[in-house]
Amino acid sequence: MAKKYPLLREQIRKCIQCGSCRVNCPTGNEVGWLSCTPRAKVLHARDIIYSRPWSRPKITEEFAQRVFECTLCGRCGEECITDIKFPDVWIELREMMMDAGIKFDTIDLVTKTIVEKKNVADQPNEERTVWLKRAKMDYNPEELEKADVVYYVGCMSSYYPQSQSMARALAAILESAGIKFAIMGGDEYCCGFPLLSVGKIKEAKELMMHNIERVKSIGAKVMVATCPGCMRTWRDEYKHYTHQELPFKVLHATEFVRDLVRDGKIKLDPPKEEMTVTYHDGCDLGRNAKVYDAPRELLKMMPGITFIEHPESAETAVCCGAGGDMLMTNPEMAESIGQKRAASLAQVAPVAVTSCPSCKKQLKDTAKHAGVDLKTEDLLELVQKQLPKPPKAEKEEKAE
Amino acid sequence: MFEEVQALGLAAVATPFETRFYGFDVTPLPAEAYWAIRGTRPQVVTRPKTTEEVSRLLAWATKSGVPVTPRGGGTSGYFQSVPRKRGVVIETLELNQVGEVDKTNHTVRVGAGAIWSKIEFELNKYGYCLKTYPTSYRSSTVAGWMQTEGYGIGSIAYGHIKSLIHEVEAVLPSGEVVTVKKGKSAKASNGSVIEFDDFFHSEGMLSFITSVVLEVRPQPEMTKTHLLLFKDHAHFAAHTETISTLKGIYFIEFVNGAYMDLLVQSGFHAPEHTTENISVVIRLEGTKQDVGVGSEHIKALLATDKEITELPEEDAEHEYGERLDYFRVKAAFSSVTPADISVPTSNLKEFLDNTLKLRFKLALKGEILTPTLTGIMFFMVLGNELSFVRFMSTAPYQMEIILRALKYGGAPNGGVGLLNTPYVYSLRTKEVRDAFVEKKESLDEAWVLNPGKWTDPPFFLRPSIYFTAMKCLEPVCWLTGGIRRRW
Repeated sequence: MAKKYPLLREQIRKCIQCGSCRVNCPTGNEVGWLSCTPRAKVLHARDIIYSRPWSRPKITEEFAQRVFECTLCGRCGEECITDIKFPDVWIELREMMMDAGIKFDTIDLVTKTIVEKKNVADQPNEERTVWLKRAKMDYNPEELEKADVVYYVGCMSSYYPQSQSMARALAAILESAGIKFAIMGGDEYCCGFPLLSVGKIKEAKELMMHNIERVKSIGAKVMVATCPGCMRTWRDEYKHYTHQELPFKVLHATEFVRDLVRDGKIKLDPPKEEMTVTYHDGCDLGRNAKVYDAPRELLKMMPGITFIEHPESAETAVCCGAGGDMLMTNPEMAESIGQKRAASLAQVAPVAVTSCPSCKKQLKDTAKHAGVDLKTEDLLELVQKQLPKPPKAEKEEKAE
Repeated sequence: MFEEVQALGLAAVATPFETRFYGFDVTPLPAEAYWAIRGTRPQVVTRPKTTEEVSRLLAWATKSGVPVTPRGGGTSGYFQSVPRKRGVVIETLELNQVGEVDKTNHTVRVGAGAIWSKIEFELNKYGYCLKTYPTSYRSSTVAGWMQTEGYGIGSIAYGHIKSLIHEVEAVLPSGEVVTVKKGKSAKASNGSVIEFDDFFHSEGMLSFITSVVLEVRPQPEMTKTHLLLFKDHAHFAAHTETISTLKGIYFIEFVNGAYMDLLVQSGFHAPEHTTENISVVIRLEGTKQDVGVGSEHIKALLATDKEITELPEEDAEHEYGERLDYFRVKAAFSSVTPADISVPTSNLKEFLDNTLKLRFKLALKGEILTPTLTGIMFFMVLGNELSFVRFMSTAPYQMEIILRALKYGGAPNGGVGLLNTPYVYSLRTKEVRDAFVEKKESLDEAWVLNPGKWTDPPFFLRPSIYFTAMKCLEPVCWLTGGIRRRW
């Protein structure tokens, strides 16, 4: 059994039980008991894999529950002094739970949905382009058969109204820079991360293979994603699970747009009102994908924006609670974690900017529930607001 | 027992899965070793949030005769916070408040379960920082360090943690809450007396600390780190006095080439030439003037002894940045067993001359804790930490190193707890042991607070039994290969 989980098997031996991972673990701190800390989960996994038969613990639902009480935020990996490869280790541990026959209704449901519908929203996959209807574009990117740039929209921005504006913002920015991009429309499948994160590796691989072939057929040189989870999965996990080198570059939209602004391909106007903002590093884009600079550089290049760094940012940023399928498996805990992060961000600035659709939604919702005075903005949408108005639109605006 | 704890208004867990994790600290013992110790898995674990809750719990425990084990970060390595007679583990981590800094007295009130790194984070908001902290700073607690070790980073400048604690609030086994200021004592209602000094090194056996007033400092005006290479330990030992008394001195750490070799094999960076020499990190902190004078003295030292080499400041800062990460060396190995000792700095050369003659390659990392005391950790690599035979094969070597430290006026580090019990006669004189037991009996008549440690150890850890067993094991070590040059 153990040989099936090579990373888990190799990495957990490094643990020295120092407990550094526990101190800033968002779910560990919510639950409180040691069983919910990375330290204990690794110890238990080590005993399951390496103990002698007479002292080997069994995989129980109690343990599996703790394994899934994790946002996969990667903070434990940042704190680990022996550099254990979290959160990848957690994904293999989840796979081990699934292989042991542990069942969670929510996981079964999401797996069924993604496998059947190819998206997490349980909607027909052809409707992925709904966001385009209000995008005011001169062409239909779904109809472009060949393009240098492919925009991988992701399930969140395809289906959820709160996140569709991010997709439209990127479309407007690219159009402003004169870049024609393609999308895959109904041929775009979920990136597979929601399945990876619940240990459904085989099902995730099938989605990955399809997506790679589709992007290859467009002949793209660059693939841009607005969702950090999708971006990181494409950039880091696709190669690992499919054993294929991607013949195109994978970038998060903030990296792509930062380059456009820095290279003078887009000019930004001052906003209607000046704004003081702080930046919330989503775990997938920040700690897990190590994209810290691009969003900050972009914010600093935007006129009329005063940027204040939160003391817990970049490597030490605190999770919003939405990651690791926690919203599905434990919404109460996700809510509590989110409320704390929202309150902490509000102490630094009235506006929290983020580059992740899940973080944006989670912070907005939890701030509202907790009565915290915090406005949440997506970085691309902020950029879009500062794009120079085309002469016609400017005239109409003045007339109004 | 679970229902009774809950009836006191405390959150608790009692399932075998939840409680098993409180039977461990940082020391990886194979399952068979747990069988020899027994009683390490608590029946109930609870996490009080207030002094009042601790008081209720201890009063109940004393009345019911239920053993109670306080636990902070669980980082000691000597099983101080692991139960021996099951009962209830009280985790202190919810007693974690960090008050506002008193800028007049340069103090702050902190909860017993406040974690050092969290305190530092809060202090930095006021422009303050810690004076000293343990190498387990990231996850260990204030009360945990006070009651076990007390020397660490910054001790060479500010001394033992005891000198930085101004006041202690604690709960006695009877449930009575006492507050004791530095140098004072408090009288319990039964007439017994607890002194300020009793809160240190008592390993949770006399009282349950709930909060302390800690002395802190404004962040230093300037810092500077030097990394020097000495040709061998004798060369370094000849200069310890000069380095220890440098103006602005804050921290001195030395490692040998074998340690750096382990580090490299574990995938980490080691500055050039450090695998062949003794490399020494010297951290200076304080006013610009003090740090400047300290640095000038180092330059003068380099000018007078041409065999000392200074490495670039970038390497020095890197090494200082990793001062807490001793055990990174485990990354490439299944297990690393330490022998953690301290010796008088004046005997450092002779001790190392003698110890490094052991037949295997010894990796070591040391710290000049005070101008007169040096702490050293030796690392031994194991094949499999879950194998009882492998694990036991290092024990005689560990014992050998400790016995050599004792011979040179030193002692094992980390307090007594459970695992250093075989050395208790060297760590505590008969008078000290008798006085401690007398005090325990007066404060804790029912012996409920952290029982079964050095005052009442398990059979195999009684000094005479342990040393006999180790002697018998020695041939096994030779036969199995033990830890001989495993890397």
